[in-house]
Amino acid sequence: MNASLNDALGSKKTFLIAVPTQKYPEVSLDLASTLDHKFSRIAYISLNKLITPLKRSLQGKGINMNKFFFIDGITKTAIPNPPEDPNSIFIPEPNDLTKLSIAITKTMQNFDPDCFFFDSLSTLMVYEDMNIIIQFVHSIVNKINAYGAKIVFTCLAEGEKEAQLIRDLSLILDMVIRVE
Amino acid sequence: MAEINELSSFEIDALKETANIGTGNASIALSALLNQKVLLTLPETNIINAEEVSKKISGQNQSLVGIYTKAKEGLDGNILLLFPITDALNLIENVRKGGSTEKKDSLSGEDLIIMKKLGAVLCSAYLTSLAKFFEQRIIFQQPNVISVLGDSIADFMISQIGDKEKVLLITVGFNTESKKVNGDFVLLFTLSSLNPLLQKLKQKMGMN
Repeated sequence: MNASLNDALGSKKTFLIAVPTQKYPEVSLDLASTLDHKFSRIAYISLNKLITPLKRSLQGKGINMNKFFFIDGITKTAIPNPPEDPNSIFIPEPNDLTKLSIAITKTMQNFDPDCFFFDSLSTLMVYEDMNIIIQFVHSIVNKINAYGAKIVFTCLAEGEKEAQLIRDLSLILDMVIRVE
Repeated sequence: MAEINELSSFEIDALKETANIGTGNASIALSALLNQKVLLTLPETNIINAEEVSKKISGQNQSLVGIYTKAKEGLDGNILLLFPITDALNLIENVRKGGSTEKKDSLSGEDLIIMKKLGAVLCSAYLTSLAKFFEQRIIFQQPNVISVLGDSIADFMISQIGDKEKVLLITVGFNTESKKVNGDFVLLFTLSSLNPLLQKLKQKMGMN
């Protein structure tokens, strides 16, 4: 997976990585590591893992945290007033798509990333129906494309809904990679 | 106050019983909401360092929906009710009692409100029984609905707790008579916050 993604990151702009549930934690770290090697400034959109354990996991993998900025959509569900962090924006809930979109714009303006990592669309699927998710992905892909950065989305590989999501997004995104 | 690192067998048994009281009350509340029996498994109780929690409640290699709350006064700990998404949707459909029959696969805004209210009812049932038993005021924060995968569950449970802090971890499975709603109560409290409650218990039993 890393080899195909690494090669494609040079020429293509938008990606979906479909990951088996059992491998998800390990693969999402590998992806972050790949992006760390490839880019100088990465915006990590996290809807699944609280920020402190996420940073700890990334540091444990030897990832350079100075290259990362976080848009965190999960920590406030556990800690209503998280400590201020100059390298993070916190949004109240993972399904607050308006605030998420605004946070992405602010990140472009203030951090100037060359790549976004969206972890994960499967979390959004708990809260929103397929049409809303597709529209949202379309909207942020257009925004990020116009800005000139790349974006890597993740989702789980199993399930009817996920299969439909992957089919629909393959029409919008440059490349879909299925992890075996 | 001296740090708690060990508990006597009486204290462990007392804490297990209070956990049973709490989950029993919460299951009665759930049963009333769903108008069907709710069956509980035997609680699994562990006293461990917070950093070991992920070994006990990870391995949930599926995407789950949870109702999460944190006790903020009277106790120091977290409560999580966990369901696979299909069971969460069945739960909501049961609570609605004949709402929309349209097949759904995600939680609408209204569903999230229902789940948060459910969470408040169940957590209140759990913590109120503890508060009455220990004659202690216990308040929890407004529950939130979360979607978690894998080891993220442990992250929620030990958020704002130091890695080396000793915690009491209780997991109780439940399912409804219809088998359409299956889930877990996961409760985690720091031992240091339980100490005053244990002292009160001993006083009640004339053991101090």
